[in-house]
Amino acid sequence: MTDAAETTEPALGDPQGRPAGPFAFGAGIVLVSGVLLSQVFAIDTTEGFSPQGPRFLPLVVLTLMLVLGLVYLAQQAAAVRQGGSLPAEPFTHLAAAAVLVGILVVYAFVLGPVGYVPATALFFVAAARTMGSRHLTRDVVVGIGLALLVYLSFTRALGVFLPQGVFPL
Amino acid sequence: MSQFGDLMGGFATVLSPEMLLFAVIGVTLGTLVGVLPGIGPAVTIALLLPVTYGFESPIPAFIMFAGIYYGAMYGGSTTSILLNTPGESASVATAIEGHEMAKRGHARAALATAAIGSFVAALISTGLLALVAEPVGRLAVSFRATDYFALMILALVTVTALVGSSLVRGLISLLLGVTIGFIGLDGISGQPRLTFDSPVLFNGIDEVLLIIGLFAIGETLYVLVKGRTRPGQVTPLEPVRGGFMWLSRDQWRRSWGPWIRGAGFGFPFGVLPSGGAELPTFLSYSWEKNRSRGKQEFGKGAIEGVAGPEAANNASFSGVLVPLLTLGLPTSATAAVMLAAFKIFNLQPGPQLFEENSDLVWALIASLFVGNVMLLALNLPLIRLWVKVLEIPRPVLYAGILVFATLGIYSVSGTVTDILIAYGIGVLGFLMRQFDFPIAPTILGAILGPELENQFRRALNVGNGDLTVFVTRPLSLAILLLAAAALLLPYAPRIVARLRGKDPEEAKKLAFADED
Repeated sequence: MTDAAETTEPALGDPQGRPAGPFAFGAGIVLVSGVLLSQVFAIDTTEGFSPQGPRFLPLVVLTLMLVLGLVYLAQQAAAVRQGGSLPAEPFTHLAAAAVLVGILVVYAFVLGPVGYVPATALFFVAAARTMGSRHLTRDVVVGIGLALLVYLSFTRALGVFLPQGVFPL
Repeated sequence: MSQFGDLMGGFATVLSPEMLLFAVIGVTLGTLVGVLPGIGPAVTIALLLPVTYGFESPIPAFIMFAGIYYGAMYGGSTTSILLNTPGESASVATAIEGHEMAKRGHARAALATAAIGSFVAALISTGLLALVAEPVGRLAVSFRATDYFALMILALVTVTALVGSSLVRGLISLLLGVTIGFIGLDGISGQPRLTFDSPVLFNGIDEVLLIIGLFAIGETLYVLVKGRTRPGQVTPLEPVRGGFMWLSRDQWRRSWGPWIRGAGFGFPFGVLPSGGAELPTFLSYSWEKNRSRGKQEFGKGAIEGVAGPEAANNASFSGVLVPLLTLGLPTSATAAVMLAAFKIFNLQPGPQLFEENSDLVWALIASLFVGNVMLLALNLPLIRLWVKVLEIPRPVLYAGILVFATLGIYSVSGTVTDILIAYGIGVLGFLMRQFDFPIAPTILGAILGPELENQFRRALNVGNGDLTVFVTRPLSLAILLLAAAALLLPYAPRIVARLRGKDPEEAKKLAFADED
């Protein structure tokens, strides 16, 4: 956690503990470890599971992760039995976060075809608005300014390629 | 004293007007991004990596990184003091005492003791770095693959054991990172691993994607979900009261001891694989709290509580550079990002770096000195500007962070798939924050994992596949035993309590916070 001063672990027995989240996350860890573990067997090698071969360490690491995922689930189950939960912060503004991820994905797709400057300016305005900004004019001005500044300084001064897109600059 | 001559050579490289300009740009950009709450030096460097992609020589890039690092560090202290939202956990102590000082109308003194303390500590520790780096490098030449393997295990385990509040969650984070490091073509056999037969993944997941995704995008989503997008209350600066560099005679007298002691804590703990700056800042804080002259003021804004930890924080960075430069071993998230920066220029830190690119190493060390001087010269006079940055609305700031994050990912590869992978990693980083999984072990695991596997398999090849090679060489065995001890260390208070026949529940697990 970045700001340890503010994050306090909910004590065991705290009725505010939200048990579902850690269960879901732990199940996810176990599931992903299991799927990846099956991929270890798909690695093409003549060396089998010899320690020098390409399968050995992935096998060890993923097996450990699977076991630790189960331990995490067991810890959460024990905490819930005592009426608490492992640390899990509430998902409050989840809709906004989902929208933001959606905007990011759209940005990734339009960046190339539309061009860096218009895509970035639009993304900036949309992202700022999703995060609670209510000053459209300011966001548009800052968005266009930032996109232009980044585009010109990176392509002209720093020699990094960025897509030009529909508006030739 | 050949190091002195080499260092002077380094200064000759970095003291040109052009290089100084890079230092100024670095410090300014670093501070600008570093003042953002939740954004520490590691993320700042990761976000600003693309700035250097077009550079032909690594030297200006590293001068800029040194500036960015110190700028970001100081930016974090400014935020801690004026806003009480530490940008990274090493600033938590500063946030406690520094913010209290600011509330009592001593904001300038707190900012000054942080800046001058960082400067003093960086001078001492960079001097020590210049002294020890080459001898350690020479020693490292005699290390074998088994020793390297053991050292990497030690670095990974100590970071995981000391960071965060749960060993299980820390280890899961670490193994997740190591697994990400496996993705792609196996370096020895050339076989694709964990790629689901998708050629997109054959080159593996670039470290820059991982760092920007986990830190920058994960943090932004986390801030959004916590509803922290409103700016906090910036404590106003008091008018200048005189004194030298905003510190009165008494404040100078109370500060210099903690600065020197902080540097004394910071450097050695930075050199040892102890996870970077948290442990030394914490030790410095508790030393000053219990022993210093101003101990009765602690909790109400004691200047020693800012001076010591800030010095320790900065000194530990020079310490972290010792294993990074001499062994190629990153022991903190920031060092891992620095390693990624080295790779952009096809440089592999390690014993050979001193022999083949000693100009670069000495220029880097000299640029640390230059970056510090710049920091002191720029940041105290420009404090009003940084206060203005703190007052910029958060949605605008974080939208800007996302623009830079995407720019960073895009300039690595230019493909939509990579951008999407990084966003996916960002969502993972967000979930890890929500459920209190530490981030730093994942980054270190992904960056050290492939090298760890190389050394492991190389050692086995030398030993004809016999796994006992790791325990028959005394040095490797000793390091591995240290790693095992490090795993138990966080539980030491509980174990001691049990041995003494007390209730182990009363003794808490020893833990430090995450990142940088």
